[in-house]
Amino acid sequence: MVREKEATQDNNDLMEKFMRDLSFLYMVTSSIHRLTRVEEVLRFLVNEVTRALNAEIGIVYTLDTASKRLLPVVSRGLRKGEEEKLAVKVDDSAVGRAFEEGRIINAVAGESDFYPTLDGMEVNSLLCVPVKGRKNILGVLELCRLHPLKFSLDEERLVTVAAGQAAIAMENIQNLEELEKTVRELKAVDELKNNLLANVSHELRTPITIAKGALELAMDEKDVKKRNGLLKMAMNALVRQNFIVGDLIEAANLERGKRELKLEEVNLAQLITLVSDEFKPMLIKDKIKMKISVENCLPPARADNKQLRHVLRNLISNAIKFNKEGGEIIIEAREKGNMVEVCVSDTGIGIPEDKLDKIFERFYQVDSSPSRRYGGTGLGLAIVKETVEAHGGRVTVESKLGRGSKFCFTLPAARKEE
Amino acid sequence: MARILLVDDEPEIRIITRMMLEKAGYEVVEASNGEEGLRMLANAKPDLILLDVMMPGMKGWEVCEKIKADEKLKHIPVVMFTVRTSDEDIEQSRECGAEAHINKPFDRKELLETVERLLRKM
Repeated sequence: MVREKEATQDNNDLMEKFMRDLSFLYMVTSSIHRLTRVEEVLRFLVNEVTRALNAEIGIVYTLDTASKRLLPVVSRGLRKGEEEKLAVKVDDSAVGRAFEEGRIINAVAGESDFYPTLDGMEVNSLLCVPVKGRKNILGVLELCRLHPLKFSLDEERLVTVAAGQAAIAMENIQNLEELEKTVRELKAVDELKNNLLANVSHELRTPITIAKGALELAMDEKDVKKRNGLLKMAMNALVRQNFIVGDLIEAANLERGKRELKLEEVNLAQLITLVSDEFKPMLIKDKIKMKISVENCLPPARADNKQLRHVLRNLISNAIKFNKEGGEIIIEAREKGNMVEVCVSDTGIGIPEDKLDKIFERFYQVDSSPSRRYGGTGLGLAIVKETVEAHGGRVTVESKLGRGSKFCFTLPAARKEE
Repeated sequence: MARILLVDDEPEIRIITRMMLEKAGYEVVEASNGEEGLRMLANAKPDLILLDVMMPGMKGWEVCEKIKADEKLKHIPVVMFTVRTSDEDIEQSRECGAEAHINKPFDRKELLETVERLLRKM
């Protein structure tokens, strides 16, 4: 009878424990997936598990990829300032091995697996459980007891299930964050493209309006001098239009990943003179002075002539567009190591410092609002950068707001065979 | 002789438009942005305003709204004169109170007929 009673009592204890574990796991799974931040998930895991297992200390470590160390991200039961001191090399200590080998380490003081992480604390029992994601191990949960009471197999299982749920919750949050980021980026690109379309149609229609109007007037203008003036105006408008179309074609080629370089030796002094001559009418209109200074004996560049011309056009046209009336443009070319460097500087409005790294992005414009002051497709500098880099060169920019900008690019020099 | 205020930030567009209007016998005064145009209104006393939309600073539609909200100015016919040619853009011209909307690029004939029609109504 007594024995039977004891057996029933044991059964009841077992049932009770089973129910307790089940309701704990139910609580964990039903709550953890509602959390929206990775840190919240880990904090929840460490708090609930440490409490349920009557451990004094619980710490979650994740890998810091830069230092290749496991760093504590959340903890419970540590003294103030203790967390900062904990950084575990991946191959060192129980935490490190649990992470490295992806296995559970459960040991009390004296056992071979017992390598406590916490110096100077009376830890006598520890349990390290890897937090396993779908592909890799996300971190390690370490539980410590001051008593040399070993964690039971049931406790191991409980922690493993909770850590697994935390891993799923973390990965879901990370996936969601990535997805949200992608959506944000796509939306930004979409908006830029919409802006581009609006800008391009504006940009194209303005020179057409000028050319059409000037030609209409030229047709019944008897005075030869006046008629020539109108024809010149129409001509300039079409040149301006052609620049825009050139940019669009170049951008479409880039978009399709189509870029063939026809490399040849390019005489930079000649090319710079040729391209800057195209801009003479615009310089006169805005009363801008242009200075060209090419180093003596400058070696030719190894470049695609047509594409290099496009790069120069873009930089010079920007230097005019963003300049002030009566301003100055300096074009310099010099040898720099085994490269040649060309710089175009202006005395214009300059670029805000926080926009400097963005101006080379496709479709980007410092001001892309519809009523913006400066026209353009937002493609010019992206084309410049991509073209120069395709040649193995680099583009740099310096700018002072209100004072002007200086764009430099390098190209490989074509060395004379000796 | 009717006087027309021409507000456009593109100098070449101002030149050709002015030439067309002057040949047709109108007097033309110019402003290169909306703020300047609004400032000039009191003294210039134009009989009609030709107003570009895409300008630095205030957009043409906004300038038009300000004119139409002013008791002393709202009788002056406003012609929006713009590369913004979608249905929404034309609707916006109507909403700001403009009497006409001319798409750029424009025909000389269309410009002169519109100007003449609006001035006759006065």
